[in-house]
Amino acid sequence: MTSWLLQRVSAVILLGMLFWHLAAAHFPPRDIDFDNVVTRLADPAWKLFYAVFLALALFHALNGVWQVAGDWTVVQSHRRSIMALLWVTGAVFLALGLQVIVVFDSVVAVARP
Amino acid sequence: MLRAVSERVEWRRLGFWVWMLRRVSGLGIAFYLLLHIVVIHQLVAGRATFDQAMDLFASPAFRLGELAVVVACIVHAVDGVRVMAIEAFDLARAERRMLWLSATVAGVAVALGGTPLLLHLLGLRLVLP
Repeated sequence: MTSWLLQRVSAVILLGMLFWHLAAAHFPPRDIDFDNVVTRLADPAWKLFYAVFLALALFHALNGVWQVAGDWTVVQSHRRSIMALLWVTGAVFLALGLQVIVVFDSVVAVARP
Repeated sequence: MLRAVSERVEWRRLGFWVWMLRRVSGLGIAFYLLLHIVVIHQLVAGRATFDQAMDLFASPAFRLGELAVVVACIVHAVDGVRVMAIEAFDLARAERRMLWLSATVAGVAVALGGTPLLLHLLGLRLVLP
């Protein structure tokens, strides 16, 4: 029930955020390069935006995989393993994303040739 | 009477495929999201490595892949909104109309979102009025 509701709440927020992300980063279509991304990530407002976007997108994606897996897996121990695997995947990719958004110093990267 | 029953069965089957389409597109987008995170993480490796990766993604094959991601996102999002609208406003009886409406919205969105990408793929520049 909670998983069902959270999937819908995250969907609505993601729809707006995805639109914003596409409008800012990919419209009109252009060739993305280092400066392009790093300039945006130097802005604290964008850092916050992307941190939330990343967490919500990962949650929605992995919760969706969980719902699909749950429909096709009846063995309880398998379900537990899948759940554990999804949590680990989420944690690893959240860490990778946050390293770029928060820890990676894009202000320095912009200044460096 | 028999025809009505068979029509309903056909309708159920269509509903099943739409549901399946949302699942498959969702799984595809989930996989893309993980790839996207890994690729953007290459920023940490520095300008040269990152730009080299970006050059690879500027190839026509990857641009077609991007188009597929956009289409998958539109299909998944529009159908998600359709399901939420049916649940929220108790529109189960208008199910048929809702499906045609969402198919139309998805078609328009694919045309609007896909055209600039196709132009870019063909090396043309989008000129906004």
